[in-house]
Amino acid sequence: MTIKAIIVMLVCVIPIWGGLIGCIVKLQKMKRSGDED
Amino acid sequence: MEDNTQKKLGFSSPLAMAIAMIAGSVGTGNIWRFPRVAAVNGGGAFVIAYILIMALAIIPLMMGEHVIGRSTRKGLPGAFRDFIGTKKGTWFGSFVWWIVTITISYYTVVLAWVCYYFVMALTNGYAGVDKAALFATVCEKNVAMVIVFILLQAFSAWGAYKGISFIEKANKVFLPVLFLSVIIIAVRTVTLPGSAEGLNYLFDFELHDFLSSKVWLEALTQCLWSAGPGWGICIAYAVYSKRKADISLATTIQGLGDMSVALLAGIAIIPALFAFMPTQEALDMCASGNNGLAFIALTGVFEQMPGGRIMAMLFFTSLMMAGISSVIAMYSIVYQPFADAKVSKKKTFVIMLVATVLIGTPSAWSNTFFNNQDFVVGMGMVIGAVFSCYALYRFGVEKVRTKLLNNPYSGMTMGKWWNFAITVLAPLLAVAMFIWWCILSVGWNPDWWNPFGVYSLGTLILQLGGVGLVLYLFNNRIADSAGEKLFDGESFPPVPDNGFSK
Repeated sequence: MTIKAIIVMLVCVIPIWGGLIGCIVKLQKMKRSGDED
Repeated sequence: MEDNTQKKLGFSSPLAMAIAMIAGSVGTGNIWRFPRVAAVNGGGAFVIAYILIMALAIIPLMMGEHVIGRSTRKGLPGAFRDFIGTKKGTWFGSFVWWIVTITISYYTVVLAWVCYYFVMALTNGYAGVDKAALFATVCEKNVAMVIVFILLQAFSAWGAYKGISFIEKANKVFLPVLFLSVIIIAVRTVTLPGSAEGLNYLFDFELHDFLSSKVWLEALTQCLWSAGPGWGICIAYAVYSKRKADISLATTIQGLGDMSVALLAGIAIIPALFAFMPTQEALDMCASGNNGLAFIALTGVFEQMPGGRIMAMLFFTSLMMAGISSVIAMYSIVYQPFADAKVSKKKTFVIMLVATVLIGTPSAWSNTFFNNQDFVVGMGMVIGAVFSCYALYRFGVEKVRTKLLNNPYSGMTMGKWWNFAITVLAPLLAVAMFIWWCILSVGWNPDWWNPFGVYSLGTLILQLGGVGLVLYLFNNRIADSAGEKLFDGESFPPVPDNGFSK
């Protein structure tokens, strides 16, 4: 695998998978207010 | 007492809603379309274009659709009527509702094929068989496939009939199994000798590809057909979201979840192809279409791969999980207008099941009919995305953003750029994509005007225009059936008890 392809893969994968996990953690932290309606 | 009843309505938590939205968005397109289209359209350039379009136009549009659903608490026709604020607006929702009905009808045929191939993988039934000839017998005039198709329709219709609590429970199984299956395949394929070339094709970046309009249009097509703006999933599930649940964060999770599965599938599938095929043959297979990749090329690859039978079973399991969760979500969408019209649940279930089986059986029987429906529905979804932009524009994007989207319970507030995304970027991209596909369809067919051509412009005009006209003629009746308006223009009404919300 070329260095360029590895960099592009990391640039694409890290923000998406990291963002997904980060957003889920944030949503869980806000759960208390969301549960009450 | 009333408070306790209200608490039981809708999704049990914001995360449960986000999971349901990911499950609804992630379909077979993430697994069998994204990898092959990325590989033949510039790899890394395509993937970056795809991520940018998702972030700047598609996810913002899905947030807007979420606002429409939660504000109006109605099925698609009523949602557009109440959000646009005039009876004439009902037509837009009716049109999208029809597109979803057609989608359920033909799309479930794919799941019948997936079931068949899962059994074949289990029994090693396709070993040594001509894969193309085998697929031809599966997708053409196969009575067994029609029966499996009907059973899958019945299961999906029943799942949505059971309501939101069932959907939540089912997705707790579907989504982890889907992720796990694709992760296991990815780990297996990237450790194959020769897989690095596949990863190079998937992620290598060339500036001339990034500047190519075709790459951007292909990326846009993938975003619109895969993530789910324009076919009502966000509007329909938002009807069941609690008033205080965060919109922007949940929708961002939906979009990121959709992209995560697509990238994982790319890493799982493309290296496998390149490990077992010469480069040109692998690229030809990617260009041969979804069915060619999944049922002809990959079955051959799995046959050669050590541990390939297990990988094949996992692959078809992932396709099934992705597909069935989307079909259940779509049934949920098409049930809602009946609930608004106070039609009983049982009657709704029977009407929609009979309708989808009748409309879908020709696609289960003939691959030509299937391809035609796939083409027409894809274009219908693009029109649906434009309708959502229009509804948000008519209501006032600044009002949507400041009063409804950025509410006190938002974990992620949207800046003024969101207005630009909804009023300029998303509609412009959708219109560009529609025109591009129309031009392509004229190029493919010397008789592009033929209303009975598989991919002709004539068939688009006949089917989409015909349905649009009929729905326009019945617009007032449909508008009246959607019940009283719940939205006051300022705040979210509570989750309605419409029979499907528990």
